[in-house]
Amino acid sequence: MKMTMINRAGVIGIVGLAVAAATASLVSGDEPIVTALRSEVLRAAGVVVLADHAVGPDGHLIDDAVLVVDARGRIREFGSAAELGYGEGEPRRSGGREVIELPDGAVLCPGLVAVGSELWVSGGNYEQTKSIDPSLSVIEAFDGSQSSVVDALKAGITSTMVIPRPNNVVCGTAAVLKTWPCGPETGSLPGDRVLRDDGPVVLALGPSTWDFAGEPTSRAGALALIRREFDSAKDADGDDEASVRMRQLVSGELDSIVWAAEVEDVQAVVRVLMPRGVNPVVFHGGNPLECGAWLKETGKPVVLGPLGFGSGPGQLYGPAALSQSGVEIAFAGQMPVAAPDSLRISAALAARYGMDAAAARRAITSVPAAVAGVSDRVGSFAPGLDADFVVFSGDPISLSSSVLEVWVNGTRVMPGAIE
Amino acid sequence: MIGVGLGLSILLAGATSAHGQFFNRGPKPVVFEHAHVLTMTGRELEDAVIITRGGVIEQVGVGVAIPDDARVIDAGGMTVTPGLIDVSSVLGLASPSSNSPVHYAMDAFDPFDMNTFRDAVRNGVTTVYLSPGGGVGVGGRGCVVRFSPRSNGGGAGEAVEGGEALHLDLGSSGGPIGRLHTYNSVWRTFKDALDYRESLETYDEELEEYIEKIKERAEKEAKEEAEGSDKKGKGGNGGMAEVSDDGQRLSLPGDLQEEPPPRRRPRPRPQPEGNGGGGPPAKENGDGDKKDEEEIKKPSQPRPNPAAEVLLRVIDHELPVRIRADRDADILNALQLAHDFDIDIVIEGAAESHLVADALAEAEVSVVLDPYMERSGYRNDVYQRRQADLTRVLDEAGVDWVIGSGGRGANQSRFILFHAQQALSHDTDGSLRALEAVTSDAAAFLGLSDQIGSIGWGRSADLVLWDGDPRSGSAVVDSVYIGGRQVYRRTPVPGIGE
Repeated sequence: MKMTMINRAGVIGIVGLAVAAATASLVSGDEPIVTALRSEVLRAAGVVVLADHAVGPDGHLIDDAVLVVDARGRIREFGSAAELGYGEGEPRRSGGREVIELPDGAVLCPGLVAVGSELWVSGGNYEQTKSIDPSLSVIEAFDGSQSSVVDALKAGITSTMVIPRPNNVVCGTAAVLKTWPCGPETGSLPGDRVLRDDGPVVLALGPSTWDFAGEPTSRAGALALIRREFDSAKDADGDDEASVRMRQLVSGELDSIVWAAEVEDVQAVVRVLMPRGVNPVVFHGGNPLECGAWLKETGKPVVLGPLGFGSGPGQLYGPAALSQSGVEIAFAGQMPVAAPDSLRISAALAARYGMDAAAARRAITSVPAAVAGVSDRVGSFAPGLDADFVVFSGDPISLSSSVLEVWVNGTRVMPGAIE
Repeated sequence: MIGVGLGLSILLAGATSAHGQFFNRGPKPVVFEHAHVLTMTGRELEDAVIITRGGVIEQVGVGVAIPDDARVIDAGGMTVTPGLIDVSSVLGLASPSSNSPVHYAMDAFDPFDMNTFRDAVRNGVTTVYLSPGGGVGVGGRGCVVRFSPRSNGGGAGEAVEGGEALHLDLGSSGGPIGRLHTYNSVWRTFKDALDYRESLETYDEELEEYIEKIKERAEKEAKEEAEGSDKKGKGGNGGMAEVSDDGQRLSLPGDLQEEPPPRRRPRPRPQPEGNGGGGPPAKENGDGDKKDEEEIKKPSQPRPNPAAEVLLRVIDHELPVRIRADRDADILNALQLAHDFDIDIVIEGAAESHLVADALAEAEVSVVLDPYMERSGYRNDVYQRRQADLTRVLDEAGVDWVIGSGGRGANQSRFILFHAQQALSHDTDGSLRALEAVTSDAAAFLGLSDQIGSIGWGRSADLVLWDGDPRSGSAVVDSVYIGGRQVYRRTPVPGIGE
């Protein structure tokens, strides 16, 4: 494990050989030998984590919680110690797994999920000649060498949805990746990091999409373009990737997100996109109080923020207001433009401005996982999901808390593989 | 400031007066009952009573008898803490920028900057140290401002005596040459202040000498006159003409060599001007046609230098200095400055203070940390060596620290508790320590422990009621009292206008 960090190139070589060997014969069960190479010994049998508190699926804190991780790094069971037979005085059903008791007061939290980052992307992140191209896939620009990914991991972020820069009306296709590779290191390829390589189609409205030269050059122009192109896409019979995906998009087969920078853009989502069969999750960085009703109208979770210490009252009260009216909120983590801490700071500030604490915890775990379409893999503690979790010294939405440990796929990567 | 009115000064007086009963503007005591009190003096009380009178706390305890005439506020089990303090703020300063010690932050304070006040009070902040801000080098003076309640629910505030400090900035964000230049000019400014003092002292001595000489001459003249009355008419007119002639020639330096030797040996002349005084040339010879035997020149008074006088207050330990220095080298320079001129300093910013923590501890210099905040483009931070657990290193080295919003914008004071929590997130006891950092520690740092920062006898009734435990992440401020008067009450979260 450490070796990987010390001499990545060398180990990649070894791993490369091992992959060759593994594919030939050395596959034991469904766990390739190369994965075992990367794992700590305890991984072999799994692990039982006992915590004073844990973030439950609904975002509330559960006291005296147990998380049982199986040998493959997935969650076997999760719940309160008493329910699962790990209560005081009861014999521990560790089943040969290593039992880890977290420090007093520590809070076990699903790995944080940041939607809307541009991590790993190199070589430009939007197409400058076409305003509509859903076939542009962000994962093609993956660059595994970026160190800012480690910063994200240290902040407790274990998964992130990487998006093309929202500078086009249809910017392309997002990807959802883990910040720590699940399987063998594959150098410059995303490899086993990938949770979804065909993530939501990313749309954008607002000034960032207006061009000086090409279409559109204005808000009205952008909406006219959408009407024309989206209406004709239904009946278009092209079989190139872009045409196919556009057809799938307007027939509602693909999930999508839309970057709606301003109030007018949020209204345009409801008035122009939704009648055309496109019902995206809205990312809105502005003042949600001004367009709350429109955001709610989408019937989807809403991605807000990131909030910062300089945010205005509207931004700060927005999450609480929307949340109280029944809208699920996720916070955006726009790494590397924003610092990785922004995700948790957003939740902390929103809570201080009246957002329900459980909703604030969901807004950095399960809701962003749902927005990214990977709820079946990460974002909460439920049997069968990947055992990606963070040990915080206290409540994750308190800025008094720090990240003590980060685990991915049932393996501790921090402290350990990193720092 | 006048508009702030009489009510405020009464409140302030009430706050600073040790005995509330002397200020029975509203003689009725205001009592908080069923309060979970964090006194910030190490005590945590359940179901306690706080009795205040005239804006000052009289009693805190469990099972305390409530006076009959009291106005009782039921805290309903909510947590009560002292008002929070930001030790480095620009709240109420539209565009802080000062480059002279003569500038005083309070002069630029806008008591009607309601939005930032409301935001600060909404988050439990009741007192700030107002930093004059400004560029590198010697800046202005800051002061402590305690918010004062206004009838319209906003902010406003008055300077609290005793919290003043001078600001210097060693320009850590600049390049190496600029930083050297800055340090040099700051050092020079202090040296000039000392020179100014010397010139004043020289002037005083010379003035005394001058008066002495005038006296001597007067006596001599009186004596000569007495003698002259005996030998009248001897060389009287001629002598006067000579002196007058001499006087004119002396004003033309080029003629000096051709000048005939003076008849009498001249006495040493007083220095025309003190060192660096730059005063106007003295006019002594206006009445040169008097029958004086020589010139007695009046020493010229050095031009008054108010900036230097402020620095002299610093040198005399009457005024502390806050030196903004982030880089390790600049912090060491600041310590050198403190050593060279024997001045009392604290370091502001101090991003790299972990690298020089031992030197700070040895010099017994404390630091005002900036928030360790989320930064846009954080990868490009100037201070790459800044580390998240800076406070741990300072604690271990024995360096006293407090945290302020660093003058990063008027609206930053509101999140001072968050900044402290972040700075202490590595500490297992961090959530309590963070609260201490922005109440009792901050008050002690400002030298105002007897007035603010804790809940106890004689302290101002600046109280924050939280709907949960402020040590947790999700407690929200329910209401805020300043001087015993409610200045904020939580309102429902606005709707989304469905």
